[in-house]
Amino acid sequence: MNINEDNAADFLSPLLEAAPAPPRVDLDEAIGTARRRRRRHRVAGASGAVAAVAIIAVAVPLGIDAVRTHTPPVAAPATRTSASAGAPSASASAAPTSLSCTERLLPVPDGVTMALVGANGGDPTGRYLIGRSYPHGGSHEQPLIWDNGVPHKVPIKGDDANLTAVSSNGTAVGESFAGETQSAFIYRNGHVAKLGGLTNVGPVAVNNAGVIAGVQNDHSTNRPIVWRTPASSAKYLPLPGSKWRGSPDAVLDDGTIVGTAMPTFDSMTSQTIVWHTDGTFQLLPQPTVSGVKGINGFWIDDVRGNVAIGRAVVATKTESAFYSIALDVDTGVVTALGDSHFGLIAGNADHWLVGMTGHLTSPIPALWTPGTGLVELPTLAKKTDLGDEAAYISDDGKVIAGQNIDKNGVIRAVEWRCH
Amino acid sequence: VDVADHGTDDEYVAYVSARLPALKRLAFLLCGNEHRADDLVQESVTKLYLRWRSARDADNLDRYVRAIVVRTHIDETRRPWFRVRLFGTMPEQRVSDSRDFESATALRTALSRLPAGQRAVLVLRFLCDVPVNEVGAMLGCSPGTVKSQTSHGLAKLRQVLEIRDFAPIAKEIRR
Repeated sequence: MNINEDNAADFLSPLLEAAPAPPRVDLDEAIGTARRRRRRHRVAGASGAVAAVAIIAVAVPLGIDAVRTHTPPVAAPATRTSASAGAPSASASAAPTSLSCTERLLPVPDGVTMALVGANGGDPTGRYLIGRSYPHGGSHEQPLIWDNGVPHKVPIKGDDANLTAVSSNGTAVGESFAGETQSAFIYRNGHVAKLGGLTNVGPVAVNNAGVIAGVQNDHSTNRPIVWRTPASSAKYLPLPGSKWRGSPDAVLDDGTIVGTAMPTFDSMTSQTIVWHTDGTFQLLPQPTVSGVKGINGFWIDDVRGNVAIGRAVVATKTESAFYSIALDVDTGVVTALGDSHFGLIAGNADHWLVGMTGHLTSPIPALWTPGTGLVELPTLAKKTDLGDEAAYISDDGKVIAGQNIDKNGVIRAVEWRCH
Repeated sequence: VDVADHGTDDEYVAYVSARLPALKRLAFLLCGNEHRADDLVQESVTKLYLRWRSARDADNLDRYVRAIVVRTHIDETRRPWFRVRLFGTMPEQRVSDSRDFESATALRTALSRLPAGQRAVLVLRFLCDVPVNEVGAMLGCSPGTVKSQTSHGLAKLRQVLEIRDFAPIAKEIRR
């Protein structure tokens, strides 16, 4: 008998015929375990290891093309629009063709070094940034809001306290855990207040008027909710059917909420949904991108004004591919964005994107603009690690923030300025 | 990466739910045991949740998740308790010459005699049709190492099967 590379596939093929029983995997338990583990790791961070890194240090190397989205050849408008077909926005035409960037550490109170700015962690103007520090090397997280670069502590009680969104007048929302129970908070004028009405809730977005959108994390299947005022009780936002799931991504200035909905909890075919202030909702058609067939989902990463930045998904039974796009939710115009080596985290209305590039386990914080293409951002240490990322960009493109691991392995809150 | 982002839970649940059968299949191929396959997938999707914000940006998310399953499997086989469980629950199976003996079961037993890394290389290359370069990326080793692991794995497989007189399958291959 001679099994070799040529016949091994045939030889082993009987193994493929024996189908295993259906999987007995509990996603609720996976999410619960992951969250507990994340908190435990933070507590264990006192040894000097960065908590966030400790959790993910065993991540799998995937090669240089790991952090990558597909770049379709050209953009095309969505079907329901007659507006400027995929043309770049007005300001994009005046966009720079090259950028030079510098990095600085954001100040953190009490002499603490370990800190970060979270994903979408700022208001559109760049005045406010949100994140948190780790005063005890990983336990008892301290939520922070930077106002023009000056940090303020936000006294949210509970474990895993965290700010999730901030509006341009400095209204911030956040969350924390007591055991497995999640609670939502609002921070205005230096005071924290708990948001009421439902349990196991987390806020996702807030506007200047204090309209807050969030999710109820009910057995891992999120239900979209809204607090129309900070003092009101949370209400469920409507969905097309009882099996549908969804979560908001943004609250616009007029109180309109933009989010994502999917027909069943395990569906990849998520659609953009718009909840109007009159209580009605509207499902938007899937984005159309020239040269890409079979788009059956859109995952939103950021919303600025009417522009949703995210990834169009082509999901089949065996593979899923992602295409970075900007969708104007008013006109339906779709613009293809990004670079084939760019991992998108956040963006702005001018289609400037921030995220990371490079190897998935040693990513390099990066910026992508229509005029410059991919721009690698400077880092504190030569060797980067999972966790290094640019996670926020202001509308004028002048403020970019995120997290960067320094040469001592400590995660730091940083800001980049590009010109 | 660090900040809990509950708005993405739906994406996570949607993605993982759709991929569970495929992940279970891979896990089953790797460890050859229903219960351990479920445990392996459970642990893998837990790890995936912790890395979701980064993972969902991967060009090939499916490959990334498969890599987590494979790496988790290899890591677990390095733990002492794994060996206890392996030999406690999978005793030596005498391969029968009987024609109705399921070749899949026999092959699974033979594969289980291989070191986890070699087994993973064979499963990924020949059952999941993953190219050498990608197997290397998933396992964190060079393409050259993948090739040598393949060679060693096939040699070991030959050895195990010859010892066990794997005549029925050998005949099928020659046809």
